[in-house]
Amino acid sequence: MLFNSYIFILAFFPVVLIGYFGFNRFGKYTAAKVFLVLASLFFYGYFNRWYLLIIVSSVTLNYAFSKIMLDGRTGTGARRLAFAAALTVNVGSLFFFKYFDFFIGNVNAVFGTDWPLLHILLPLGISFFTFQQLSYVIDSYRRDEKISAYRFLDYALFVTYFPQLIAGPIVTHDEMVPQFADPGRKSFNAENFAAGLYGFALGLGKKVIVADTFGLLVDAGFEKLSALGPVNAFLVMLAYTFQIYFDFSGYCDMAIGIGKMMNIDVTVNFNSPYRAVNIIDFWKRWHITLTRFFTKYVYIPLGGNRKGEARTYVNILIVFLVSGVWHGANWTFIVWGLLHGLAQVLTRAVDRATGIWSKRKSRIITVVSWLFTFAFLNLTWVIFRADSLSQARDFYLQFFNFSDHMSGTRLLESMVSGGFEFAGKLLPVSAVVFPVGLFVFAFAASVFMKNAGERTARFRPGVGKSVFTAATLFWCVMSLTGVSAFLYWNF
Amino acid sequence: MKSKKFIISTLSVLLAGLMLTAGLQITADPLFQYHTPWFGMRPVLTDERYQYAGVARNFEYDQVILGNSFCENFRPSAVENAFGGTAVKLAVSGSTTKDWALLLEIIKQRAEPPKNIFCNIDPYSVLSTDPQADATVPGYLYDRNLLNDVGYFYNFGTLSIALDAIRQNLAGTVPDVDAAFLRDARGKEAVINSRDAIDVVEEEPSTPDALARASGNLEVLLPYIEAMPETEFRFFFTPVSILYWYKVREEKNTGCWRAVFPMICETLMEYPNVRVYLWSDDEMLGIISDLDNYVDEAHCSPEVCGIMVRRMREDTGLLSPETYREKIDRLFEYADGFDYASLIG
Repeated sequence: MLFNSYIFILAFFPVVLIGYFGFNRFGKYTAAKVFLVLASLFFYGYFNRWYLLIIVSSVTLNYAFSKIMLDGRTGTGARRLAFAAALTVNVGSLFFFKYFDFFIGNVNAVFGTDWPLLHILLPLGISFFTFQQLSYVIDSYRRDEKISAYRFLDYALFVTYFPQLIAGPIVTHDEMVPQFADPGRKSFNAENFAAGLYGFALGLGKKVIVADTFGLLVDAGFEKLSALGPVNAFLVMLAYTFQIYFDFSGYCDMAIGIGKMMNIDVTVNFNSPYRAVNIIDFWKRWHITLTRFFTKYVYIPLGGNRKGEARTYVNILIVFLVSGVWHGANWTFIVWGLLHGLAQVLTRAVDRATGIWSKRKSRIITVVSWLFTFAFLNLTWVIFRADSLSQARDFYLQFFNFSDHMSGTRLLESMVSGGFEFAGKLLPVSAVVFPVGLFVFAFAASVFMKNAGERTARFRPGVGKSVFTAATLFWCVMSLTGVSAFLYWNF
Repeated sequence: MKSKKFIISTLSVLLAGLMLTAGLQITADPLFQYHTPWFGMRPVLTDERYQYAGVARNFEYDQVILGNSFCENFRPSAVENAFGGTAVKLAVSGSTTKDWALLLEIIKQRAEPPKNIFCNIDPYSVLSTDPQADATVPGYLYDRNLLNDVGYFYNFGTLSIALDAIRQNLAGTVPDVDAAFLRDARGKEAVINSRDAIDVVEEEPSTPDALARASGNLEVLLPYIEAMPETEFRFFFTPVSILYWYKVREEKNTGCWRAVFPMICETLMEYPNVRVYLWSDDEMLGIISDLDNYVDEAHCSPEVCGIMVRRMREDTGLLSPETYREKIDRLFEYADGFDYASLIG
C-alpha cells in the first residue's frame, strides 16, 4: 500500500489510528501492538500477498538467531554459527531477490554462457527491512551495550511498523522498541497529532504535487533523449534532482508525520541535502540513516580512519561501492556509488591539504563549493536515473547537441497535469508559468527555506497552517488517480 | 490556536471539500457512471475512454457502434436512419479487443440486449495488440465496485470535465453528440504528406504467429457473441485506403494479412448471430483508391462510414461460406496490382 493512495488516506490509516488508540485507551497494550503488527503486515501484503511469506520468515529467523546469540548460555562457537547463519539468511535473500539476475546476466556476458535469468519480482523494501534486521543481528552478536532481548512481538513491531517498512528510514531497535513500550506515548496527544498531520501533509505535497510533476518532465525527457539539446537536458537533469529529493524526503516526512500522529518519533532521514557545501556534508544530510548504517557496520569495522590516510580512502571507496550496490542491481548504481566515493576521497584530501572547509570559513569558498557540489549531484543523478550507462552517456552527449532538438516549451508543458492543468483552466496565465514557478519553488525550498522536518519539529498551530494543511491534503487526494510509486521503494 | 482546534478545523475543511466535490461529481456525473444528465442538461462527450463505460451502462439505446478509431467516424444518426431505434457510439481510439470486451460485459448486463452491434474487425485490430495484454481503459470505471469509484470523485481530470459540461450547458454551447469525435477528410495531399513512415523489415513476419495472435484476440470476443444470441453482431473489414495497402506490402505484411482475413471470416461465420462484411466491389475499390475520402492513410471520412452503414443495411458485401474467399482474393489482387507510383511518385 502506498501512503499516496485513497485506501491509505481514507480507510487504512483512520482505522489503524482508531484501533491503536482504542486498544491502548482500554489498557490492552499487547492487543494494540498485535493490532499494529497485523495492520503493518496487511499494509505490506496489500502489494502482493506472497511478500508476507518473505517478511514473516525473515522476521522469525532473525529473531531466532538473535535470541540464540543473546542467550547467556550460548557458547562462542554456537554464537558464531548463529551469526553466520543470520548473515547468510539476510545477505543470501537480498542477493537472491535483488542481485541474482544481475549476477547471472554479467556472467553470461563475460563468459558467453546462457544461464537462464529467474526474473524474480523484487519484494518491496527488502533492502530496508534486511538492513534494519542486520543491524539488530550484528548488535546481538557483539552484545552491544544498547542491545536487549526483546519479546517477539516487540521485535516484529520494530521491523514491520508500516510507516518505515518499505522505504525507510533505517531505524534501529533502541530508537523504536522503547517508544512502543513507553506508557506516556499510548494515549492520543493533540499536540503530536496536529504536528504529525501537518508533517504528513507537507510530505504528501512534496511527493504528489512537486516530485510527481517533475517526474512527468523527466519521463518525457528520457523518452526523447536523442532530441533534447543542451537546454532541455539541463532542465531534465535539474528536474530529476528535485524529483528524487522531494519524492524520497517526502516519503520520509510522511513516515515521520504518521509516527508523530501515533506519538512515535521516526528517525529523521533528511536535513536539506542540497544545502551541502561538499559531498561529505551531503552524505550527512541525505539518507542519514543509511550513512549511519554504513559508518557503523562497514566503515568502522574496516578500520575507519584509524589505519592511515591511504587505508581511509580505500575504506571510503568500499563503503560507497557497497552503497551503490545497495541502491540497485545495475552498473549505473555501482558507477554512481564509486563517483560519490571518489568525490568523498577528493574532498577529504583537499580539505586535509588546505583546510578550506574545516578550518577556513570564507563566504566565497562556501558559495563556490556549494555550486560545485550541486553541479556534481545533478550530473551524477543522471547516471542514477538512467537505465544503463550507455543511456547516461547519451544523455550527457545532449549537452553538446546544438541542432535538431525539441522545443523547451513543449517539454515544460509536459508538467502541466492534474492540479496544475486544472488551475490553468481557472487562471488566465500561460501554461509554462506553473512549471517555471515549480522550478523556482523547488530550488528555493530545498536550498533556502526551512525543511519539512524543521517545520514539523517546531510546529505551532495556526489558522494559516490549518488552511494550508487542508488545502494541500485536498489537492493531493484529488491527484491520486494514477498514483505513482515512490522512487526509493525498490532499493 | 490550540492543537485540538487545529485538528478539528483542518479535518472539517478537508472533509467539507471532499464531500462537496463528491456531491458535485455525483450530481453532474460527467462520466455518466450513475445516470444520464439531470436538470435537462445535455451530455457533453469529451473523452471516449472515460465516458463510454457510463454511456454503455446508462444511456438508452438498442444499436451499438463498437470498435476502435476505424469506427469513430460513424454517426449514430446514420445507423438510426438505416436500422431504426436509438444508436450509441462506443468506438474508442486505440482500443483493443480487451477494451471492447469490457464494454460488451456492460452491454450484456443490460435488461434489454441491443438489436445490432456494429464492429470493425480487421488485421489491424486483431494483430496490433497482444491478446494477453491488459485493457487500456481505466478499469475502475468499467466495474461494479463502488469503492474504487473514489478515483472518479476525487480527480482533477473528471472535476474539470464536470465543470466544462456545466459551463457548456449554461452557455448553450454543447456540441452535437452525433458529431462527437468525428474527423473530416483532409484531402489527398494532406493524407500523402501525413502518412506514417514505412518500417524497414528484413524478413516477412511469421504467419503462424499472426494467426495465433488474431485467434487470441477473437477468442476475447466470442463469449459475448455466444452470450447475446438475440443481438446481431455485424462485423466489417475496414476499408483502409490504398496508401495503407502500400504500407502493408512494403512492410511485408501481405502474407500475414492474406492468412488472417479468411481465418477471421471462418471463425465468425460459425455463429448464427454474426454477419461479416467485406467490400471489394468496384464502387468500394474506387473509394479506397481516392485519398480525398480519407482523414489519413487508414481512416475514412464520415461520408464513407455512412456508405458502409447503408451497405450493411442492404447486406451488400455480406460474406457467406461460398463467397468469402473470392471477395478477399479480389481485394488483395486489386491492392497487389495497384499502380502506387502514380499515387505517390
